[in-house]
Formats: sequence, structure tokens, C-alpha cells
Amino acid sequence: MENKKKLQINNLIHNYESKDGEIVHALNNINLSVNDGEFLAIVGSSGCGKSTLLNIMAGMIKPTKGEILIDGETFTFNKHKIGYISQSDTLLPWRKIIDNVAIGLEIEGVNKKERHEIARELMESSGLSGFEDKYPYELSGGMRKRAIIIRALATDPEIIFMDEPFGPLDVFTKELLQDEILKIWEKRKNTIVYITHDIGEAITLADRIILMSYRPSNIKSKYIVEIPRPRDIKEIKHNYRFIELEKDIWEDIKNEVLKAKEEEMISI
Amino acid sequence: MKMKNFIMDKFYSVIFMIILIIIWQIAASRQIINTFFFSSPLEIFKDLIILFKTGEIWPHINVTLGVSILGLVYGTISGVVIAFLFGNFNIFSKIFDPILVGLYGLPKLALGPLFIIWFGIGLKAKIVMSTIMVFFLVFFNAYAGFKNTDINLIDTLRTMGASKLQIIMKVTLPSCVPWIAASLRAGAGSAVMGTIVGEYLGSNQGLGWMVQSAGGVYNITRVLSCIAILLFLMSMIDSLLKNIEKRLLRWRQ
Repeated sequence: MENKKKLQINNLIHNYESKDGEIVHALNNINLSVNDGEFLAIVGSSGCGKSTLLNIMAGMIKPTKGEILIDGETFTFNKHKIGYISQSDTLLPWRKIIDNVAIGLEIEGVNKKERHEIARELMESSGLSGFEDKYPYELSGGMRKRAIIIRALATDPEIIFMDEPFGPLDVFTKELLQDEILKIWEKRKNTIVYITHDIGEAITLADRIILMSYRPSNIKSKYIVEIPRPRDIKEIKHNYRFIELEKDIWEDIKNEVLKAKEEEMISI
Repeated sequence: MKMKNFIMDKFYSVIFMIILIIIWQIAASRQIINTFFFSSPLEIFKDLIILFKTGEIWPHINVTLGVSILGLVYGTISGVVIAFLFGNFNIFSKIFDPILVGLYGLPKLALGPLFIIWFGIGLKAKIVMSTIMVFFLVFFNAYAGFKNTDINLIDTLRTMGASKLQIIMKVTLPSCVPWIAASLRAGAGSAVMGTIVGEYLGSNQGLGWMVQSAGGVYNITRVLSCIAILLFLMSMIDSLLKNIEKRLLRWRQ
């Protein structure tokens, strides 16, 4: 491949102790690389450790073994700028929206005038202008999510990690935001690693999809989406390739889901 | 508009108070109650006019108010700082947690005589008393606030490369503000209580001292005058703090 590798995961193993003192083998020798400017989706059934994987990649959890490299260097928060968007609502409730969007820049030491300018521009481009001086509680769930997304973009990070960012939202808001993510990404080409259990969402957004197996998790299969861009969130669902991929991935994942179910039954 | 709301808000309690005072006055003038023990609103009113006309009361108000405010400020600052140390350094909470919980259960007012002996009958003993009363309230609240800081918010800032200090300033401290604000209003009451009790125990000025010395010679009117002044002061402090709280917590529903 001529593509530059942005993120590399080498021989990653992660075990942790559960509340009952049992050792859980969460991740089993994962090797993965993400190209510069690639949109990668990681799909798996619940409990397959995909969130753990993302949290390790984003530097939130120290893995039991293995290394995470960004541009060939060991990843640290000091050296590398990343964006992290989780399911939870992580706007700081005591800050006005504009100061929430600008907080990454504030941490970097950008002066107030400049960071507000950047934040204002981003807010305008995502339909949030007019809400600069509002507090988070005054915004709807979808708008708050939007603010969280542009907050991650404000510092122009090298990689953005997203963990089912639209999980708790209703379907309509979800699709609107997916559309927005597509537009933003097609314009900016940030490297994105996106976790979801929604196969359709993964195909709609990503260049490449990785399917995780059930515990101890490993990469079970890889799919290249190959649907041309710019993509239309509505039309893509009728695309032949979309339908084919959805079917293949669903077949593939079914066994893992069944395996997870079985294990649950036993433990009950 | 605001004033109107304020008046409407207090309307019923003011009416109630007025009725109570009228009944009291009637009972006193008809000799239903013994004015030697219960005084009467009119007597108290006359006494208040004398106290303010001669200016005799001002130094006492100044002392009590000043000491209480100092107690509130010192108690709040020390409470927040120590809660913060506990929240950030495990070693502190390991050593002092049980000690503080024990001390919290102790009626602090019982320490009064010790403070008088240690710090004399001047202002220092009262400031210490008042500070300690406030400290415990603020400390436990602020500590709960630190412990309840949303870990997701801390993680978010961590991924942005924030330093430990930045996380404290931008997440931990602001998320404690509601807890601290809640303890402030209760703290004001405790601050005044600490001061007054300190003045009871040994002093030569302040409203507490006035109450004590007037009570000593059965001057019930004077005692009640002082209590009326205290009531007024307390409600002023409370509404001031309420306003501050509102301003600090604009960001909440």
C-alpha cells in the first residue's frame, strides 16, 4: 500500500479483572493499522470489547501488552492531538457553548479572541450560530452532540475516535448527524476510527469495516466498502454494494452474536 | 417586576408576622401576659429607637457582623482547600477521614470555653469559633462535590492533553461550585451562631454579649431587641447569599 499509516496497533493484548475477581481476556493479539485520512469503522456485537479497544487506542486505558503508534511514534497525549467522542454527554455544563467548543484550543493556550473566532466559524457551519452564549442545558440532545463533534474538530486533531457517538439519539437526529459527519469528513479528511454496532451506519460512513469476534476478541474479518463518495445518506441504502455488504457482514456477525448469547445463558 | 415578585413571595409570611405581633401587643396591654417576662412589641420598638438614636448599638453590630463574615470567609476557604487536598491526595483522606468524621459529630460549641482560654476574650476566639462552625459544613459538602465529579468530563479533558492543573481548574473546581454554594447559606447561619455563642461565653462587646448581659439583669426588652436585630441581619445575609448563588449557578436549569 502506498498509503501512509497513521495509526498502528501491534500485538495488542488486554486482560482485566472482573468484579468477581475473574480474569477476563478482552482482547487477544490485535494487529491493526489505519491509513492517513481513512474512515475506519469497527463493528461487533455488544460485549465484544470494541469499546475497550477504542479506549486503548485513544490512550484512556493502558493495555496489558502491545503498542500503539501514531505516525510510527508511541502515542502520548503530549505529542499527539486526538479527538475523542463518546456516547456520553461531555459538554461542561457550566460553560457557554462557545467556550465548550473552544476548550481544546484553550487548553493549547490559544488566546481568547482567536479561539472564539474558530469556534464561531465551526458553530456557523453546523447550524449552531445564535447559541454561542447559551448553556448546554438550553440545547436539545442533537444540538449538544453537534457541539461535541465540532469541539473535537476545533483543534484539528490527527485522529478522531468515536464510540457509538449517536447511540442514545433518535433515528432522525441520528441520520442528520451521520450526514453531517460525512460532509465534514469528505471536506477535511481527518483520520477517523468509529465504533458502532449498527452495520448500516458503518457502511454508510466508512471506507473500511473491521468486524470483531466475541471474547477473547480478535479481528474476525475486514471489508472494504468501495462505495463512491460523496455519499448520500438516503440513496446509499438502495445501493447494490450496500445491500450486499450488509448481508455479508450480518451473516458474519450472526455467529458471534449467537456465541455471546450462549455464553450469557451459561453464566445465568 | 422583581420587587413585586419579592413582595408577593413574602406576602403571606409578612401578614402572619404582623398578626402575631398585634396579638402579642394586645395580650401585653391587657395584662394577659406578664410584660416583665415577655415584654411587648411597642416596648421593643421604643428600645430599638433608643439603641439606634444613641448609636449605642452600632459597634456591637459591627463586631458581630464582622466576626461572622470573617468566620464565613475563613471557614469556606479552609473547607474548600482541605476538601481539595483530600480529594486529590489519598494519603490525606486516609489519615484524617476518621478524625474529621469524629470531630464532626462533636458539638463544636462545647469547645467554646477552650477557645476562650486559648485565644482570650477578644475577637480571636470568636473568629476561631465561627470559622470552625463553617469549616465542617463547607468541607463535607465540597468533599462530596470533588468525589462526585463526572469522570467522563475528566477523561474528555485528558484526551485533549490537559494538564492535571487544567483539569482541576476547568472541571473539578467548577463542578464543586453547586455543592459549595449550597453549604454557604447554611454556613452563614453557623457563622453567626459561632460568633454569638463565643460572645456569650466571654466578651465585652457584640450582640451576643448584649443579649447575655441584658438577660443577666432581666432586661427582656433589650434581649428581644437584639434578637430582632439578629433576625434582620440574618435575613439580609441570606438573601445576599441567595443572589450570589443564583448568579454562580446560572448554568443550571
